[in-house]
Amino acid sequence: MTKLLIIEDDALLNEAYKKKFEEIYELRFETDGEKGLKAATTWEPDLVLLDIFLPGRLNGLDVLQQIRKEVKLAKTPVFVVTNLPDAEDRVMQLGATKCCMKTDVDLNKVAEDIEHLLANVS
Amino acid sequence: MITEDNRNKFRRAFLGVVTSVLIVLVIFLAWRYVSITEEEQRNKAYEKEVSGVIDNIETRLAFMVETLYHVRGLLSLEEIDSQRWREYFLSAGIEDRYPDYFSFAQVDIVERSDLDKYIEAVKIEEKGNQEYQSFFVFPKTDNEQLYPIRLLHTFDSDIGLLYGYDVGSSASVSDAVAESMRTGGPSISSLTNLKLIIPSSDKTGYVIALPVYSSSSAFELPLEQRNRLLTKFIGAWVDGDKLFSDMVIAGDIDNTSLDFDVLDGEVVVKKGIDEVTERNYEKEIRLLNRKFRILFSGSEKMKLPFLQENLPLFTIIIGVIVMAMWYWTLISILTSRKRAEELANIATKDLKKFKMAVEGVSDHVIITDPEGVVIFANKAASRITGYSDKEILGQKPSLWGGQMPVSFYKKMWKVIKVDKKPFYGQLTNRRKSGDLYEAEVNLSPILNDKGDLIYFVGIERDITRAKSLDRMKTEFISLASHQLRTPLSAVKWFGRMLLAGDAGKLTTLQKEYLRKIITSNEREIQLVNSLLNISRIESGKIAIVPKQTNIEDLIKSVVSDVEISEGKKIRKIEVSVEEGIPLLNVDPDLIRHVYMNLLTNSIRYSGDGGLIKVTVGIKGSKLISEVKDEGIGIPAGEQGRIFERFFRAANAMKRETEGTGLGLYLVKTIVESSGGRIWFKSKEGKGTTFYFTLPLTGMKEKKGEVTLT
Repeated sequence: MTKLLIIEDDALLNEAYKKKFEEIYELRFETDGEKGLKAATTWEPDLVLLDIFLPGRLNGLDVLQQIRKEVKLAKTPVFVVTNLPDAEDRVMQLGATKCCMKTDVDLNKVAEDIEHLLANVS
Repeated sequence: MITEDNRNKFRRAFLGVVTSVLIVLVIFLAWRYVSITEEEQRNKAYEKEVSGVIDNIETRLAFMVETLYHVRGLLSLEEIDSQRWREYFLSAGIEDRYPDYFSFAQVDIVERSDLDKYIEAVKIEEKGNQEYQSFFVFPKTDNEQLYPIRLLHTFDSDIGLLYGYDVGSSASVSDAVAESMRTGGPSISSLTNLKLIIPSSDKTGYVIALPVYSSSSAFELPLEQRNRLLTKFIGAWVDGDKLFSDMVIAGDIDNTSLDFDVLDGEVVVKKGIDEVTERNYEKEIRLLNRKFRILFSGSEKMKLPFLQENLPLFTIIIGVIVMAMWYWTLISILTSRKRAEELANIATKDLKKFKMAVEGVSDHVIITDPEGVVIFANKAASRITGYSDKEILGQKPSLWGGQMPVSFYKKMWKVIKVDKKPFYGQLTNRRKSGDLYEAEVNLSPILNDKGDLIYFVGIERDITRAKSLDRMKTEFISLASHQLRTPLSAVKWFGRMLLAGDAGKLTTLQKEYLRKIITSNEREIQLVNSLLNISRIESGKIAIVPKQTNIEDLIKSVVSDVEISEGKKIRKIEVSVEEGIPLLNVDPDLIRHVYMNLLTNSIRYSGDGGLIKVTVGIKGSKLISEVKDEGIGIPAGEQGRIFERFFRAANAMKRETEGTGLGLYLVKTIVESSGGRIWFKSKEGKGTTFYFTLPLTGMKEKKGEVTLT
C-alpha cells in the first residue's frame, strides 16, 4: 500500500486528511518537523505531505531541505500544503514537487494532485 | 554680584556721562571765550574812541604850542606892529582849522618907571590905528615890572577888551609866566576865570605863556643870563569849554552815547556827562605839565558787526546743537549696541540650542576634516560605536568601519570627495565590543564659497533594530495570515467533504445551508487574502517582478478564470485588444489582480443581461485599458469614495453581500505603484467604465520580500 507521510501540526486538518485518505493510503502523521524528518528517513514514504509552519526546532522548509539531502528520499515527491504566504517560490526552489495554499483548495483537489504526483513517480 | 556685563555697562554709562560733561564744559568755555573776546573787542573799540578823543585834545594843544613857537621865532627877529601881527595870523590860517578856539597875545615887559614912555611909544607906533590911541595899561598895581598885552589876535569879544591888560595882575597867569621864564618853554596857567578881569564874562580857560628872547643862543645860557635876554612873552588864551569840545569823531562805536567830563583837579572844566552809565572809564592826561582827568561815560550801545555782536548767542545755539547731536549719536549707538547684543544673544542661544540639539539627537553625528579625521562627534557617536569621545576625535571613521568591500568605500569617497556630492548608503560597521551593526549613513561634503572642501558631516543611524523590527513585521504578517487561514481551510475542507457526500447523503435543505457556510467561509478567505495584500503593499514589502508579458493572453486567461469562478450564470465577456501591442515588461501577477478585480466587480454588479467589455489600446506612451459594464453603476454621491478602503456603495451592498471593500483600493494601489493612473465614468443604473493606464516602458523591478496572494 502506498505510504503517505503527513507532517502537519493542525489536528483538525489531520483529521480531515485521515478521513479522506485512510482507506486509500497507508498514513503516518507527524506533528513537528524533527519527528517528521525522522519518520521520512526511517519510514521512507512514497509521498510526503508537508506543512511549513511547524512547531519545534525544524520548520517545513528545514525538513524539505533535509529530505532532499537524503539520497534515498531524493525522488520522493514532497507536496507542500501550507497556509504560509509567499512560500510557493521558495519551496519549489528548495525541491518541493508541488505546493498549494490550503485555502485555495479542498481535499478533493489535494487527492487529485497526490494521485497525479504518484503516477508521475512510477 | 558684579558681572563682566554689568561692569561693561557701568563703564559705558560712566564714559557717556563724562563725555557729556566735557562737551558741556567745552561749550561753556567756548561761550565764555567768545563773550570775553567780544567784551574785549567792545573795550578796545571804546578805548580807541577814548584815545581818539585824547589825541584830538593833544593835537589841538600841540598846534597851539607850535603856533606860539612860530610866533616866538617871528618876534625874536623883529619888533612888529599890529598890522604885521594881523597879517601873520591871517596868513597862518589858524582860523581854518580851529575857528574861535584860540586867542594869541604879545605881552611886553615894562618897568613901572618906563610905563608912560612905553604907552607913548605904542601910540606913536600905532598912530594909524584908532584902537591904540586910547591905549593904556590896566589894572593899576604896585608891581615893579608890568606885563601889558601889546598885540592881540582874537575873535572873542571878551578877550578883545584886553589890550593893555597887565597879565601880571592875575595870579594864575603870572605863575605861568614865571614858570615859562624858568623853563624857557611854554607853560600853562591854572584854570583862570575871566570874570576876575572882565566882570561881564563868565568864561574860564587857560593861558599859555612862552618867553621870547633877543637871541636864539639864550637857551644855552644859565637861567640868570638867559633872563637878561628876555624881551617879551607871547601868550595864548584857550577857552576851557572850547579846548575839550567836539572831540568825539565817528568810529566803530555809537559815539552819541560817549560822553566825558574833564576835570582839572576837582574842578570840572568841561561837563559832558548827563548821566553816569555802567561803562565808565577814567583817563589822566598831561598837557604842558598840567594834569587833567577825563572821565568817560558811555552805554554798551557800541555796535559790532552782526555776527560778532551775536557770537555768544550763536555759540550757545551751536553748543545746544552739538549737544543734541551728541545725545542723538549716543542714543543711537546705545540702541544699536543693545540691538546687536540682543541679536548676539539670540545667535549664541541659537548656537547653544543647535549644539545641544546635535549633541542630543539619537543619530550618530560627526564632522571630519577633508582627510576624514574626526573633529567633532556627538554623544550618539560614542553610544553607537562604543568608543569614547577621546578615542574618536583625531581618528578616522575606519575606527568603527571597514567591514564593507573595498569597492564600497572607494565609491563612497569618490562621491563625496571628487564629485563633492552627498552620499547615502547602508553599511555594516563594528562596535568597539566587536559586534557588527547595520547603519544607514548620510555623508555631506561642506564646501566654502570657493567650492573647496572644508568639512564632511556624517550622520549615521543604527538601523539594526529597525531592520529586525521590519523582519519581525513581515514575519508577523505572514504568521497572522497563516494562523487566520488555518481554521478557514479546515472549515473549507470539511465543508466540501460534507457537501460531496463523504459523510453521507444530505437533504436539499442541508446542502443549501452548507453552501451558505462554504460561501461565507470563502468570503472570509478572500478578506484575509486582501488584508494580507494591502498590508504588504502598504509596508512596501511587495516585490515587483516584471516579465515580458503579452497583455492579450493575460486578459484572456483572467476572463476565462472569472467566467468560471463567477460562473453561476455564465457571462460572456468581450475582449478587444488593439493590434500591434508589444510585449509589456510588467509583473503579470499584479496586473492580473487588476483585471481580475475589475472584471469580478463588473460581473457582480451587472444584471443578467448587459454587456461587459474589455478594450485595450495604446495612447501616446501609455497602454490604456477599459473595462465597461452596463450594470447598476455607482451613485453620484458616492463616486468620490469608491477607491477608499472598506468602502462599498449602498447599491452594491444591497445587491451583493460578498465583497470586502478592498478590491478597488488594491487595484488603485497596484496601478499607481506601477506608474499608471486609474479613473472611471459611471451613471447609476446605466453602468460603469473603469480606465487605467500603464506606461509602455513597463514597471521597474523592485526587490521585496512578498508577493500578492
